[in-house]
Amino acid sequence: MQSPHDVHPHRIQAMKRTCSRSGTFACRGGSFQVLGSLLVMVGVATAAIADEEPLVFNAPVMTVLPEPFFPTMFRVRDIDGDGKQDLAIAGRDPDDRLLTYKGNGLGGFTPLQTLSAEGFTDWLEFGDMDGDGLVDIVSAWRGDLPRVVVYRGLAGGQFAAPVVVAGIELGVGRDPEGIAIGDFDSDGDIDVVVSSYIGQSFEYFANNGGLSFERVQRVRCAQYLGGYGFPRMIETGDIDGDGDLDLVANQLGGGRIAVIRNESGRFTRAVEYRGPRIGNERPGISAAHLADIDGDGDLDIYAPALVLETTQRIVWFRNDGTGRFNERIVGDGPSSGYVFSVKLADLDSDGDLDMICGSALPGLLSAHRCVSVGDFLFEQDGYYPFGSLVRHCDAFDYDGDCDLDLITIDGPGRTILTRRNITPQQGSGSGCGGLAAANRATREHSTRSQPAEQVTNSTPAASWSRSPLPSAAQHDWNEDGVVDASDVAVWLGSLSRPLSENMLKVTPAPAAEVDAKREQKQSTRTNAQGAAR
Amino acid sequence: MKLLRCAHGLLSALAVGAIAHAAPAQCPVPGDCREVHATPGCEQPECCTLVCEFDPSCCSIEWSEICVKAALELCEGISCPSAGACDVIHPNAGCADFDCCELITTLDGWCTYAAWDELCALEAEMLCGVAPCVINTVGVDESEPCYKRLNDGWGVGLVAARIPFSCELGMKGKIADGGPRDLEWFELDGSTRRRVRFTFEAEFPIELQYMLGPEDGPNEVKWLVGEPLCEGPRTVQFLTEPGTSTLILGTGNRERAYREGLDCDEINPDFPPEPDDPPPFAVYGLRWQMTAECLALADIDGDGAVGAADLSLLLAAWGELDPSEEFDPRQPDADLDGDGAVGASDLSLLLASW
Repeated sequence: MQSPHDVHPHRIQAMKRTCSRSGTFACRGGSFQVLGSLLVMVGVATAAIADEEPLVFNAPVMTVLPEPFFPTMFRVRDIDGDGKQDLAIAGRDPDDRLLTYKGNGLGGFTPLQTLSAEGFTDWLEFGDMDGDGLVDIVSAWRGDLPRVVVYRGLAGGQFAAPVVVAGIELGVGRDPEGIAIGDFDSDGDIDVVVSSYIGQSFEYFANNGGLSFERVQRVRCAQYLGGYGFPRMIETGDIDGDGDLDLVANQLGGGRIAVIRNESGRFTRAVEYRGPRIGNERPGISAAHLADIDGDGDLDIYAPALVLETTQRIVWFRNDGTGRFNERIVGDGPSSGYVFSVKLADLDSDGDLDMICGSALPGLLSAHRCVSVGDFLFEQDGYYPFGSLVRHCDAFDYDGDCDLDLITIDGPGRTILTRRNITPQQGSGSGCGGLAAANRATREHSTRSQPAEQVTNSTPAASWSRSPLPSAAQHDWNEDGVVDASDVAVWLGSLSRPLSENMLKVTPAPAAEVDAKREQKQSTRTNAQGAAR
Repeated sequence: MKLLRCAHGLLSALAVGAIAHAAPAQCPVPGDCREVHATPGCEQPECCTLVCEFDPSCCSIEWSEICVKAALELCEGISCPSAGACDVIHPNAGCADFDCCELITTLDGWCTYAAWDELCALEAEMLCGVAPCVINTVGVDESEPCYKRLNDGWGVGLVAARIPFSCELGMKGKIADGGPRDLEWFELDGSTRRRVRFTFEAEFPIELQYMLGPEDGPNEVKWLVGEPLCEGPRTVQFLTEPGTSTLILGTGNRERAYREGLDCDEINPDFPPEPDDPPPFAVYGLRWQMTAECLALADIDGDGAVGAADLSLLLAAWGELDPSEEFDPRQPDADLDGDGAVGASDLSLLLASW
């Protein structure tokens, strides 16, 4: 049976790191003591090299999606079996579609199949849901009649018409946004958890085989001051090391992450952590991901920390080994825009996790090289303007040269952007058993063959300014009594159409307590509806 | 009432010159207001009234496309009555029992514009047919107007505070719904476990939860209960956890917090209402009262003494506790040391305080 684990990028990274353990000393000061003195010396030398080599990417390749599709996220997989990475894209589409795109191995994509939906689909995952050996797509339709659906995989990279596996009869939850799949009850098939954006909960459906699902459990988000939490994305991983798949999610409205542990096939109540205070602000947390950042064998959590006044930040919630995350380390993110998406990946094969970030207003894709793991310190190398809201970014080897390339989407601009990684790879054992390093010469040749102006890197951060926030963003969307970064995160997360010029020209106002009078007049229902759409 | 409030502004804008017509005489009559039908009038009473005030021909000739369009504009959120029993899940908004539908859609907007899901059905089961009540509150007033956020825990840029706990606490106050939501946070911080008993009575459906952890987290809701409406005082008795912990009173049920239908009824002097503002609207009263007391750790039955009855309860609960089973603070808790099992260590604690 197909394991659901292989669809999760952090596991791919973990596999890559496992392959490249000899390079793990770079930026991992804490692991020096486990190595022999000779290896330490080599490690120090390698670290020095790693710290000096900037991340470099080739010219961007863009694929524009059809109107009026508003992409929200994607998953990468070789759908049609041609050895090249393809895409499945979820989105908010008045024409009710999900899209699959065929990759050409060079970062370009062409339409493969249009899948029908009923309502917006903010998330999708690949998994063999029916156990037939073919990969399926599982997604959730948002809207007034929410449903969890499976598009069964067919031969040749096609998918069948959707099968509704959970509707309101099974308690699918209000406005399902995020999806996580995994064998949560350890019975051999793939189960589903969805986040209920308006329902403030997570709904767990167990797969009984043959696409027959039952609702097992609802896990409510914890309370925070009475505002809306608006849970968004979910990732799975064995957080507490007990051998089963736990959940981590973020709450857009609460500026929090939720950790939900799996205990013998049932989930505990959410344990929630707040983003740390940055200056005088509490950040908005627009995503939450898992990765073993410090290489200590357990999964840590990292999240983009959207702030209004200062440099954007990334928060590392460090796992103490038991699934608790009391230690929070703040690293610098993009120095412009409002960070919305982030991905840690070893982009230079030096054994540590570098970072790519997607921002809004202005839309930016930025690459940050790890300088010190323990301090969560990065140096921003690449900086590329891209649309107005980079909703999702990821790193995959789409060109088959054994290093991780960038794939990202701009929601309002309906665009996929890819950039080939041409960073000199470190470590003899890195990516694809050393092929990354061996391919260095090829990549350098490739770089030289590109017109110089097409390699857009290292734009001085100071030359970028932050676009003013539209007035629409400055509203107490989560209804907690203040307008702050969480509200901006909710607003960005709720966009479903292009940002208009007029919206961007509005002069920003500082974060302030919400106008109580206006708030009294505001219908809660209208608010919730608006945020959901 | 709710529907008229919602549609008032839009109606005023659209119906200039049309309002002068006489009120329609045929509302409600069979036929969905959102669908064209050959007969005049429609079945959602307030929507029918609104549309026919706008265009009297809708109630005298036929329910035409114009009437449907007007209904969709004027009657947003009007879904009562609609097909489907109120206590049964169904895919359309609203339900068949008008009064129940009106009540639930007022408290839960999702049931108005989306589907009648399990939460709508649960709320109908819990609340429909239950008469609201008025309580005579006693105790120290919490001194928090329901438009202020003083006892609502921690927030950003707000005065973050909790009501201090004492062993002989008697308080009263109000809560309100809407944005932002008013809650009451009772501080139960301590270095050791202790047994406390709270008794609440309220004019609104109670959502009560016990949350562990400080402002920055980790925060974990240890247990959560929803108390029935207007069934008199309700008691919870539980052992607090060491560290920072909070008992939170709000309105809702165990599945969902209410954020609609309970407007604050006090005037905020900083933002007094304007003449055209609708008056505060609440389907239930806003008042609550509570008492709190401390019990001996081993006083499992809460009768004020540690004795044979407590021993019986402890022995009856002997063994490992099922971690998947929800803790119910309305049931005796014999895990005195909080180790997830009732055993010798708990027995020792009980005997020590016999």
